[in-house]
Amino acid sequence: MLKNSFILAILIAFSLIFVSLFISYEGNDELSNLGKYYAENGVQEVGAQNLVTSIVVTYRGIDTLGEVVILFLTAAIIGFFLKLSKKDSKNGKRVEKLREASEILKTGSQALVPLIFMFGMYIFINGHLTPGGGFQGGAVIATGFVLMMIANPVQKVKHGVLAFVESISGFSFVVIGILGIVLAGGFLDNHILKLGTFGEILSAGAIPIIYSFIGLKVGAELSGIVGSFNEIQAEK
Amino acid sequence: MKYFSLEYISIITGFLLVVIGIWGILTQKNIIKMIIGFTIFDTGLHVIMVSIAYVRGKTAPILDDAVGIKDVADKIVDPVPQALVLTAIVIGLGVTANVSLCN
Repeated sequence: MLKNSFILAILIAFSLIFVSLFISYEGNDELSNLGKYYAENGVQEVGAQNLVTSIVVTYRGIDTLGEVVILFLTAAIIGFFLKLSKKDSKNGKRVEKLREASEILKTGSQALVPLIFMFGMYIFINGHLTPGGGFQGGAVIATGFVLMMIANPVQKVKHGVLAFVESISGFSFVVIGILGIVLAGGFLDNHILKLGTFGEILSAGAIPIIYSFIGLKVGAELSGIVGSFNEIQAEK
Repeated sequence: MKYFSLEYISIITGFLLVVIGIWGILTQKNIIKMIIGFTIFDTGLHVIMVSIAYVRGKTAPILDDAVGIKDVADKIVDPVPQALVLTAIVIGLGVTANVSLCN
């Protein structure tokens, strides 16, 4: 009873904070100064149609590098615990065998998985033109991987291939960033290639290349995370 | 009624999601349900951030035919919080994965 009233008090306190915030909220009629700068200069300086992409990849490129590092750390920690749990379960016996997937799921996944991979690649290659980008495309690729894993639950995940793709694309991302210091204005500057015609697929300098590497890296990392979880569950 | 316009509806939805998420974290005993509460909390914060970025009557920050290249600043909503939300989603994913690993 005491615990319930405590929880109720916390919720009421949060609600009071939110109500006062809500009443004092006025809404905007024009952009903030920072947003106005990006809107006015983004086309000339970066040349990407999608302004969010030009902020994520170029203006705040180091943020994105930090994001990618966080994802890498997550994948690494989960892989580490996977190894620990494997060591523990060696003397224990494997309890149940995984059930085979149905025929419909197997056939359907054979037709769908290449399409899903292609859609993910479309999303991250067109990240500077349309809503989307490396992280979203990588997540779509990982969903295709999940479908593949559901269709063949017995098959082992090839962690070596995933780690290879992940490290190569992460390394290339940093190399492109350093090339920006050498050839252009600073770290992750996209002027190392020509800006090109505004609105075409090969425009905005290095942004399509950077976003493709981010997409491959995120896709490989998320697939590795899901695969590790699947193996931990199968071992338990 | 000014509270029935788009920005107020979306911001109050975000606040409601945050409160529901806190309730889930505090009351549920199953760890999967606690993690779901955590993700609802996270989503509510993202909704709040995107709706604070909204500017009345403006459209998404993508310069296609509808927006054009001229007078961009008068036609789009603020792109900075949207970029920040992208970061926050990825970090939320990392935290959720590691929390669920502790199970």
